[in-house]
Amino acid sequence: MEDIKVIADKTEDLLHLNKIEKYAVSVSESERKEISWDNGKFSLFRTVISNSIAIRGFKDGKTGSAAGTDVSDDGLDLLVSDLVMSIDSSLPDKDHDIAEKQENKKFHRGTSEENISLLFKRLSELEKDIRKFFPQIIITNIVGTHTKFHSIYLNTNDTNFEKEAGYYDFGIEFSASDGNVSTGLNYVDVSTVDLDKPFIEMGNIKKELADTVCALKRTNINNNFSGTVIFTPSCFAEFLYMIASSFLTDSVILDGSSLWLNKIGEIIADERLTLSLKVADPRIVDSDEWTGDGYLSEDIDVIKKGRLMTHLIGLYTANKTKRPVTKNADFSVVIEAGNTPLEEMIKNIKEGLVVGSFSGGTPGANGEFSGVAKNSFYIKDGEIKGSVLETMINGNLENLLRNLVSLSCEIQTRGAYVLPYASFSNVFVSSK
Amino acid sequence: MLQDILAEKKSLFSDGVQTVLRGHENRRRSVSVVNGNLVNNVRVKSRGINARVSKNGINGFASIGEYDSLSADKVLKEATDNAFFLLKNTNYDEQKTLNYSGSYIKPHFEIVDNIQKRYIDLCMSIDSYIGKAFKNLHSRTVVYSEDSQDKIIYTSNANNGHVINPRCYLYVYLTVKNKEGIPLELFEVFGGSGNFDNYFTNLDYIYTKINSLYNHLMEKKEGVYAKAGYKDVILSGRMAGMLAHEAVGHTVEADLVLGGSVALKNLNKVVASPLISLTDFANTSFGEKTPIPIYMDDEGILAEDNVLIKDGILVGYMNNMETSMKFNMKPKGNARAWDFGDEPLIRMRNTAIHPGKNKLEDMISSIDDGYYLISSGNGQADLTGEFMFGVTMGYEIKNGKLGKAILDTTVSGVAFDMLKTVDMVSDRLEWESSGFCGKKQIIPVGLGGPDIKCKIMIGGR
Repeated sequence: MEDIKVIADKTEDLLHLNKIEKYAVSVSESERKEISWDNGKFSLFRTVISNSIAIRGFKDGKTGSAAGTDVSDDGLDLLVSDLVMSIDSSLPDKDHDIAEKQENKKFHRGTSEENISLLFKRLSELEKDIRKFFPQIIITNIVGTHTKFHSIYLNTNDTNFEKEAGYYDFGIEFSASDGNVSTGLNYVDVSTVDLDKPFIEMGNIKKELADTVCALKRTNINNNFSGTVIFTPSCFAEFLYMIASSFLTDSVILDGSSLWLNKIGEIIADERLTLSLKVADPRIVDSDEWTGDGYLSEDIDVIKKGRLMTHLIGLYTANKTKRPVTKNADFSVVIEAGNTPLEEMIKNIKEGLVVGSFSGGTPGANGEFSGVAKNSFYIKDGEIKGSVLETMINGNLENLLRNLVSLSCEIQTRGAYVLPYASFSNVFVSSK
Repeated sequence: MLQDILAEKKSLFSDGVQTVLRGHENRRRSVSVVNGNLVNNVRVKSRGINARVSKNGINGFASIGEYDSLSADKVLKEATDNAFFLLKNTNYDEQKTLNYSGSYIKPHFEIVDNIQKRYIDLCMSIDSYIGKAFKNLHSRTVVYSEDSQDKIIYTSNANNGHVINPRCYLYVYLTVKNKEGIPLELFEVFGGSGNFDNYFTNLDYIYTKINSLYNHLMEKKEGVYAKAGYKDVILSGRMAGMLAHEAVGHTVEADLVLGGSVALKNLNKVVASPLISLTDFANTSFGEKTPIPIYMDDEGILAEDNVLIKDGILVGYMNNMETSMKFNMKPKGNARAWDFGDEPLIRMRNTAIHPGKNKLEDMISSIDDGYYLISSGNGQADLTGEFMFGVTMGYEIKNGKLGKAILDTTVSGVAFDMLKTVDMVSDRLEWESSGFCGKKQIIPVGLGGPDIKCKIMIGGR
């Protein structure tokens, strides 16, 4: 495979030949190795070697994009032809643009040298550890990967970025069974830059496994009620993502349907809540160092002490709606720990749930959410009474953050986010 | 269309292992228009070769994003090395090898690659129609998206062939604000298997359906919250299709059965009302081509219909070659992969509940207090068969008549419990195929069904 810088040079030559004088080019090469354990045995060792190239070009006020994996000379010819067709077919719109000149930078993250033998050992050890310490856990599969990549970005504003990175990731899909009762499926995914520790010691996995075993003890909810729910950190991450999609991202800002369209600077959440997106936080294993528009990514506060600080929009939406562009295109979300122990959060709840994950419809533009509380436990008078089945929660995403009750002292880091447990009042709970 | 450079590589297949070599090209064209602005205008193509080498239930897989003779040699070697790494580090029992070879399957479709301007013109025409026809909308979005898979497959112990699957869709989203200023949205999808000219030369039927979508949205604008609880409902054919796919289909994928799904203990048992039969169709159903016609899978197995529930009894699972041996069932072409870097997984093709004999009007008139649920945004289920679907359009049923529209909500249940409550099944069949099913990889699927009357948990206030 040719060096990606040579591929980028060839692409630039073709763009000049086709009189595309303003453009951005991204080229990357990656190699992923993956070992899977399924239903009782190691079943797959997979290698995926891939290139990718994406070009955005501008001509006569019009823009187009083309992307592909074929970086041979013929492949690049076809790709640039596709780009030219895309631009020529387009309509003039001055709001499409690329970022102004940025400081050129190179980034290195994680480890590009994989140790497959040690990865295999860690995965085998994890399977044995789970069987030994949690005999009621049924493992559906374990997947371990190492991914390394080298990517470059350049544009005609003389910006050049380069990144080399590599990291490990492992995921476990599991349930619990005592022979009579079975729980629903649960999933844990952890990213890491090294294999120094046994996997069972990482990402709060032991608690997740122990909670799943506890879920074998079932209880019934006899009435519908409006109560307080505690979201586990992984479930909290799901809700934050839904909130971002419903109120903050390009589509809802561009079409004007976001309920937070004109709420910048206003209080939209409890004042104890600060939500940040981080680029270089050591607890985040990998994050995009530059945005698709060509901006260097920055750490940003989306919500600061309850106040909305920014939307999450790219350059086109920013230009079209006359708003500032967001210089962070990832969702590596960080909320620091609160001051209430999880145990106390539970004790303080008269009636509610601990919600481990949420299986719900995509909330509409009005922020109404409704779905099944999975891997969840019923709380009554400050005590967990047992796990619940066929139980739904309903509420509104806009109100949710205003109804924050507490954030836990305990924090969970699995490489993709840093979050505490969070409890919210006035969530409607219904059961069969 | 991919040129066949792989036929000669069969001579490199090793003895004593099973090998599949696949050349694979995916293509995507997409255009998005929001309120008259061209927001997205992209052409994408990915291409590569992969090999899978298997022995004793262990699979080595390798892929590379290049399509030439040297890359084929490289992936065959790497896949073999990967298989032997696992074989060396494990000690599993020997497994027999089955032989399904015999045919060479030729493509049933061709890919017609249009100039991008046709897609943009289509979206702008639709956008312009909506802009002129409906002045009180808050926003409108029109998206055109087409994709195609082009695969050349050679196997050591099954069939060989060249399979092509193009499909294209137009999505229309309309948003209106209600009197409290809250935005409400509905969407409709047009298109299916095939190419642009199969669906988008005459736009009259699209305009008619957009008019109907707008009318539904105006009713939703005045909509009410559903009342949470266990209710009598009628699920439309599209919702029943989602049930067939999410809540039943996934639990009878044999890899998930081995993972402990609820179907493991229910084979040959009653899991549904006797009114329910459910099949994963390969390429033809009820005399017509299915939305995603599959003729051969990515292990080289010829595709056949797979009857899963017959008259309420669970009678089969969906298998790949390996699980078919474990369950002593015939593989019927369910092993499918999305991209050149993906290994085949057990996937559905066109999963549908069979139509019954009831008329929708009679079904509605049989309910005193319930809901008619028409459109779904998304759905999920787990191995216990506990499912949920988002509901984006529906109506109250009061005293046997349709009432007010309802706002977005969710329904949930446990499939093999809920299906036993079905007491009426309509005589019409609806298909939906515009999205992707997600299970490690995405894959296009068709899902269909008639209207069914059942009891279900509905979320609300």
